[in-house]
Amino acid sequence: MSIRRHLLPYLVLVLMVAGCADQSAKFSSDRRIEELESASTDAANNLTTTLLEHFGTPNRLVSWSALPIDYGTVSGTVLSASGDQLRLSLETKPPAGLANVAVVFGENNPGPRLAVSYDSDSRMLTLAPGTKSDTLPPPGTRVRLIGHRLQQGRQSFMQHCMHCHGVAGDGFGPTARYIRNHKFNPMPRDFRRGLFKFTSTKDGIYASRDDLKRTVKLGLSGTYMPSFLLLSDAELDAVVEYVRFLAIRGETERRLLAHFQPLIDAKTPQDRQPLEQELNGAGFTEAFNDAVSLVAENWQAAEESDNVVLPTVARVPDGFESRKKGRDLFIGTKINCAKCHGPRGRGNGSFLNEIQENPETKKKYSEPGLFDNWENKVSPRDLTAGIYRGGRRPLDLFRRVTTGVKGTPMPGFAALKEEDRWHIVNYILSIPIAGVFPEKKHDHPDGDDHKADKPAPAPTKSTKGSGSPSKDK
Amino acid sequence: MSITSRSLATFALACCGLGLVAGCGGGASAKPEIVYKSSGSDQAGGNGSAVPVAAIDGTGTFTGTVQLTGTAPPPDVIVAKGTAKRDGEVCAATVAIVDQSLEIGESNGIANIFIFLDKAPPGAQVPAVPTEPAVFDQKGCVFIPHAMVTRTNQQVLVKSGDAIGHNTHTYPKRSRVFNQLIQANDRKGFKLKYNRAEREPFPVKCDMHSWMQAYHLAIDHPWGTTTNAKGEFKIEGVPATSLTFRVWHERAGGKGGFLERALKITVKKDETVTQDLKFALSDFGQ
Repeated sequence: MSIRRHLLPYLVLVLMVAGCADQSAKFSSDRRIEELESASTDAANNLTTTLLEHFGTPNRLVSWSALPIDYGTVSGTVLSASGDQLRLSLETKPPAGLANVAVVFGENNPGPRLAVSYDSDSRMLTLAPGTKSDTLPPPGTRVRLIGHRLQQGRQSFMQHCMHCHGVAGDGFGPTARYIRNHKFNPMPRDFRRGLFKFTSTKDGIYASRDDLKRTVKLGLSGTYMPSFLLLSDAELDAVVEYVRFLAIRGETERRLLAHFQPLIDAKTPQDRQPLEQELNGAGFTEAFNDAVSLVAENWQAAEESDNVVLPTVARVPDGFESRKKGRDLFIGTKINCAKCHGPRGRGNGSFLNEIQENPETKKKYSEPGLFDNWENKVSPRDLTAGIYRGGRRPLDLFRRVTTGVKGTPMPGFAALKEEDRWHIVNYILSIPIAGVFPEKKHDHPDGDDHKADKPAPAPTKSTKGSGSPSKDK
Repeated sequence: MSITSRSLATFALACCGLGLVAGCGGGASAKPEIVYKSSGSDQAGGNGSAVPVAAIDGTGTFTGTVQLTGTAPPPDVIVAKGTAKRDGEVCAATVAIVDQSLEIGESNGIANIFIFLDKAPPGAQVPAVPTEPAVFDQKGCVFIPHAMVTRTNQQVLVKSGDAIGHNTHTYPKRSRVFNQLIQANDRKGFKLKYNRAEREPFPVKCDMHSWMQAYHLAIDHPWGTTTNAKGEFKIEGVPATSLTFRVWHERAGGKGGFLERALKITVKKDETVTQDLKFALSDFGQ
């Protein structure tokens, strides 16, 4: 009886002890690594060690200078050195409580050390105890303290983002499973494809830092992704940098797994042996260098101003004429918007009744509808709701119409003249405004619009209170 | 007894408190260590110090056929003539849309097989990218051609002869992804370029018509082609040396891949090498 009564505290104690047992946090690896392991242990080890060497673990992150990541650097000069302590003159004020960052001397000579703490009053940097062979740099040596931003990003990420996006940014955080299969909710983004749906960048270009920051700061309307408006600017920047770090790490892993795919697919040991030689030998180093430089290039390209979608024609003044032109395009077959979004823009177009196939894996989906590159079911936006995940400014919608939604079936419509794209934007923005297109009572509730859901009636000039944001003529 | 239990419980709770305060290390609040890795440390001894390779003297021709052994299955009709549920006035309006994933032609020739070199051989003279654009068209809700090889950075014009909108959605592994609307009856063509060489052909899709699929391969040299309707192929101007070709098909092994990863041939100057390949239905996952 008494044992039973006091069972809870014991249980908690056991849990606490057990919970602390494993302190070696790891980035969870892609599930396919198990398949690779059964095909070739050597190849799997090679992949795991290489990733560990270049990216580290959540508690011991590697700031690898080959990557286009701003790890956060404070530069300065060594004034004096003794024991494990250095007096420094730093060019910029380091963040408060600087600790555990990498200390790099000159051009990496002597070798890098780890900072334990920095006291800004005495300007003393304490290094982690070095080995006997470690030498201290002479006064006047350039010094860089590297990694405070990545560190801050990792801390904030684990606090605010990991629950959905997972420690490795694979979109499989502990909460993710409860989001899955909710009809109208997208899964947390898996960063490892380098693909982000809502960007300001051109077709085929990755997300820029500004894009990621906007998403973190404002959230994605109509989804579980909340707004983190209360984070400081520095914290937002740090999270964005850490997301880029995870994305680069994850995509490198994915690309290396793709490199080993023939080995995974090989059926017999005889087939495997030559492939192992080819892919795990010199071929591996080449594949790794290739993957890293490709991914790095892609992230760099996203920062180039040439790669941002900017209209060269000012927004066509919103009004009856423009909305009508937009509507004609929207419901017409020349560009087929209504096939997915439905003739009334309710996200219930007739294409949703078709069974699609994943072109990359050749697997047919078990249910009709549209799917994104992550094999998650997606619904074309219901435009009557007036909620736009990628932002609600006319410019955001212009970008969406121009480049589409990356990683989804929604294509870009850059083939249209910019004026036409603005007409579509004007029309889309008019859809949710009550009174413009009165709802019909016998509207088909969902599913195939084809017969039941007739196109919305054309806007009329006499409509009052249309809520037009700009002045009609 | 009960006192002991209570004190134990208190002890346990105190431990929890301690645990919570101290943290387990490695939690969200712990400051991770940052270690530095210089980019230079990896490239030492890498591809940087390339040994000069002697130029390959002369070129030859590589030709042959790819055939199916056994009886060819009749192609599946995806949309019978005049039965398309949507865009019926255009899709399958005049001819039925058939499954092109395994096209068997005259004398069992297999069409749409990619035969290419993974990389240009060292010492080979790689001709410049043709200024002539490659054309990728669509008619009756079918992509034409079904299989296409282009050069990296070569202009590809995506055209349409259909009176309805299509989108062209590419799935390259290395190049930039392209997903754009192609306007109805666009005979000028929408411009597309693959910015990097691929290692394998990749699918190209129209999301508006789920059966519309084709395959592209972008390579940074001209030594790659696809078999025609009779299963024939011919690559001219191939460097005269021993080469390893790859043979790829969208249905190889059932899900797409190499029918032959290393087809070794030796090309001699101004001569023609002929290689006939045969595959069984089982090679295509049937």
